[in-house]
Amino acid sequence: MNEIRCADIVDRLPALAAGQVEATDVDLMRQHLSECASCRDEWTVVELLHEAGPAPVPAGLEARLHAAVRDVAGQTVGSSVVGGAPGRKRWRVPSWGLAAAAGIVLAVATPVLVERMGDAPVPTIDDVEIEIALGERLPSPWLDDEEDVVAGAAVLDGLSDEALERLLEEMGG
Amino acid sequence: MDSDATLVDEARRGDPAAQNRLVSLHHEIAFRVARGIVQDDDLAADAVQDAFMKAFRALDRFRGDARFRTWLLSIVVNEARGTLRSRKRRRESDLDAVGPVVDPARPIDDGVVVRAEARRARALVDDLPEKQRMAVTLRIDEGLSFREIGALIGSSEGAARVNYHHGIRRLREKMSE
Repeated sequence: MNEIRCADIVDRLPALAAGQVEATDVDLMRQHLSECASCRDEWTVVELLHEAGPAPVPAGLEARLHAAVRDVAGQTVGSSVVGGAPGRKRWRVPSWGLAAAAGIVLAVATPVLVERMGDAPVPTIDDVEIEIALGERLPSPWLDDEEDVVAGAAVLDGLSDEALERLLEEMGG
Repeated sequence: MDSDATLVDEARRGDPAAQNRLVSLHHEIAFRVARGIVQDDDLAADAVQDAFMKAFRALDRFRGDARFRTWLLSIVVNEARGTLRSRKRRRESDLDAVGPVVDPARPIDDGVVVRAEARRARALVDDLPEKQRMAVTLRIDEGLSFREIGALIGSSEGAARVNYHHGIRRLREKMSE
């Protein structure tokens, strides 16, 4: 690799900081960084972030998750756990209570749903959740993002690879 | 078959050791992804717990088209965003808490300066817009590919790369102020 593009360098800076770049490439990258002020500036930031390290994981979280997963695997029949898990407030509802509540909801909601549905099936929240959980529908949690400074994610997503490449070049990366 | 796929198969069959192993392998990145969104340790931990429970409830029906990690993290992202929406809460960045970069009265020590600058850089990450914040932390802390980052933040691979570079550039500007 005689000529190294800045884009290639900056993409690999996190790996360089993590010591995951092969020795021969390390030399080439170091050489480029010594000659390119823009890449060097970026390297400074990446190196500092690596030095600071990621946010520490709270002590006890792993054990709490083990307990939660055990809870899922061994949920008891006869009572339902709603919105809860180990370490958090739970509401235990007896089976007859759920049945009664379901009856009330059906009685109230069915006429309204039938009126609104017509012939088309109306997806319920559960349907959506199941699709997300199964990977059939990746969540799009960013649709209401009001602070995307990059002139709107939708604009970026609509650009071709070539256009994105040009944008990066113009950014000096 | 990678180790995750093997563990998922064993976990589906009810093997508690495999379930625990999956938790142990992925809880740290799950927490950091959630924290990157809600910016609060407690809320992030709650979101991660809900996400793991939802994932394990649906494990029987996980088709394996995507990597388990990507699938799990997409649920984490969703849970964290839901937590954020429901709490209507956003932490104000408090860079004052980080303190001055260098105490002028103190003799200069390169190690102290670097550590203080590193803490400041990390604090500034919290001020980035979500997509940039996620792209920067997932790339630097977790070494994720831009493709996987894009899948998690709802962007293309190219847009994830641009968000990452925008974030780094903005940090560079803030650091020089």
